[in-house]
Amino acid sequence: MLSLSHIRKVYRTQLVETYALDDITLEVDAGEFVAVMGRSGSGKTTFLNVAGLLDTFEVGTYRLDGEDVSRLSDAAMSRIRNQKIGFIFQSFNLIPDLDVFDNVDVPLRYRRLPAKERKARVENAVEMVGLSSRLKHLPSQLSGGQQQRVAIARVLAGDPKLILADEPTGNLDTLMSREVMDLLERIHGQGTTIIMVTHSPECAARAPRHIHLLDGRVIDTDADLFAEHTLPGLAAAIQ
Amino acid sequence: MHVGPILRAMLRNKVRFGLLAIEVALTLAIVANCVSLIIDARTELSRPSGFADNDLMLVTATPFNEAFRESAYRDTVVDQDLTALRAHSGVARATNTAFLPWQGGGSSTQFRRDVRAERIRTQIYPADEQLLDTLGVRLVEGRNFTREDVLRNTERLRALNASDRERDATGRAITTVTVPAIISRAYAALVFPEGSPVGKTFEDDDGDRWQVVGVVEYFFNPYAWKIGEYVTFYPQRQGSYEGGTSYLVRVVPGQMDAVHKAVEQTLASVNDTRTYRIRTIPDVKRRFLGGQTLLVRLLTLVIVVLVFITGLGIVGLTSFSVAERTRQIGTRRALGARRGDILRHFLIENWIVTTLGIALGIGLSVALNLTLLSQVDGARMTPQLLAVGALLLWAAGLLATLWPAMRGARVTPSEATRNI
Ligand SMILES: Nc1ncnc2c1ncn2[C@@H]1O[C@H](COP(=O)(O)OP(=O)(O)OP(=O)(O)O)[C@@H](O)[C@H]1O
Ligand SMILES: [Mg+2]
Repeated sequence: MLSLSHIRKVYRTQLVETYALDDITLEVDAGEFVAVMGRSGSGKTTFLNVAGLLDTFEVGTYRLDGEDVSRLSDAAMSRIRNQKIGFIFQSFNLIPDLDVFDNVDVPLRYRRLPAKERKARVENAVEMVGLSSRLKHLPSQLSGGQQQRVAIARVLAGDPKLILADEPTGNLDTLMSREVMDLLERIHGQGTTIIMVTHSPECAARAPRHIHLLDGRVIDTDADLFAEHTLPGLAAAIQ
Repeated sequence: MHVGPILRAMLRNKVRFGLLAIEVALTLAIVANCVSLIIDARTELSRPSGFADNDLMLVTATPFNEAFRESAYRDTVVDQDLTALRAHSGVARATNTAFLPWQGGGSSTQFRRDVRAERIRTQIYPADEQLLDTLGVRLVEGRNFTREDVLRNTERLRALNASDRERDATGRAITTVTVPAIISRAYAALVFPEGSPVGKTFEDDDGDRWQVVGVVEYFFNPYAWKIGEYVTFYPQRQGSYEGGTSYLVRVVPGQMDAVHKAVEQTLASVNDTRTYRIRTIPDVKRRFLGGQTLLVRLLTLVIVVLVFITGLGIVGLTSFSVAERTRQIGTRRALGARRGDILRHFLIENWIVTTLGIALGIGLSVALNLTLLSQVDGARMTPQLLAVGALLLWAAGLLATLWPAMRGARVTPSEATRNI
């Protein structure tokens, strides 16, 4: 599904050069559920941005779903994001002035689907996350867990091959986190590839495969390394 | 194509977008009315008076000699003045009247055909038998005033005004007079829509009758109300101790300067207990048109400034929207919006505001126009004018949105995952 080879992403500011991704080579097969871990600043979000075509990179090649997507035009990347990828964000990223229905509808409109099909997809997706009674609610009228479920419905409505989630439970309490993880597991069960960045070992434990990042590099699955490189305070918070 | 959700989202921010729509509406209303006034002023400026403007001057002699309080004494001097003026080299005609063309006003009153009819406003000036010839206006029906008319009517009006008139309960004078009148064809058409007006009468509020003896072909003197083409002349010697006596003098073409220099001396040789004021009509006209031109420039400035300010308002609001919604734009981009989709989003949003504003503004323009019309006469708002105003604001709105919207379109999709 994803094939990254020797990818490098550098952030340059006037003072420093940060190798946010440093020679990343990685294969993720279709249908995998991968948890990406690593301490703060290790490049997890940057990796997700590159994998999700939200950002470009300087060096390396990236093949997605059999297609070389390393050097695509902005419009082409937009189309792939719209059709093949679903995003789940830490702070939900719903449009505050749109109700649940319109929020889930957003990517479908950019796909220029006919109104009837959009309506069916939206209602179906919202049903799957159990929020059919909240279609006319605004995000501000929903709890955090419900908002994240709306965001998941937005992904489901698009029926993507790949789901990228950046700390999807980062802003949720344990109970709500579990609901979200249950949903992700169910989606994975239907064959969707999921890559999820998380700080939470509990969430990571739900994913069969773990990737650890450190200073922009991949250190393959190793629980000890994770513990060693986690800041003491953060490790305590995770317990 | 995304109008539905954009509109619904906007309805959740009514105040912000509503205020801007109101700004657009006010701008359209003011701009449309300013343009209407400008067009009006321009037609006024380009309209001829029908007089020999270039060869006319008004000479006013104001006495400081108590003897002029006597009307008999004054009358003698008027006759002597006129004789002297007419004999003056370079003078073609002279008339005793207070009518001063091209000063943007004069005197006016209202007449009606009879008590049941509607009052119609007209300019009104005293004149003697030489007025029409002096102005160079053509009589098309009836006759000119005679010297007899002037003398008889002057006496009659003097007698009438010497003491308070006896009036009935409705305020109309008990004993009334009939005054001969020469009116312009345009006014005749209003008061007597059918048939020849000559011999017919109309009346003033005192109940005095005015009988049309003659009709002049064309007359135009710009006036605050739209009565530039309406005039009624009546025979009377003009002049008083306080206001002095005025003469409208028509010179032989090319003699304006020469007459201007010598005319004061000529009148002084008749009677030198007076001060003189000489105004040439080309001068008066220049001053009036200058004022109008200034008005046109000011109104144009108002239009430019208003459209500019509204444009700034739109730029400001869109910039604010873009800055405030950076994350939302990033999210939309992440979900598949292309740069063009974002650009279109803001353009549609502002198009809705501008269109709403324009719709409101059209109503407001008409309302403002009607209010203005009830104060001063002017042109009625035309649909063409409103259409041009609307197009102008649409274009301004689009232009003003474009720059901030393009900045919005440059927000990168990675803004979506940025954690603050
Ligand atoms: N827009 C940017 N400009 C400059 N440097 C950046 C930018 N985005 C990220 N970085 C840097 O790149 C490195 C990786 O950042 P990234 O956001 O990928 O880390 P992360 O693993 O997601 O951290 P966290 O767990 O805190 O979210 C960091 O050193 C960060 O400071
Ligand atoms: Mg991150």
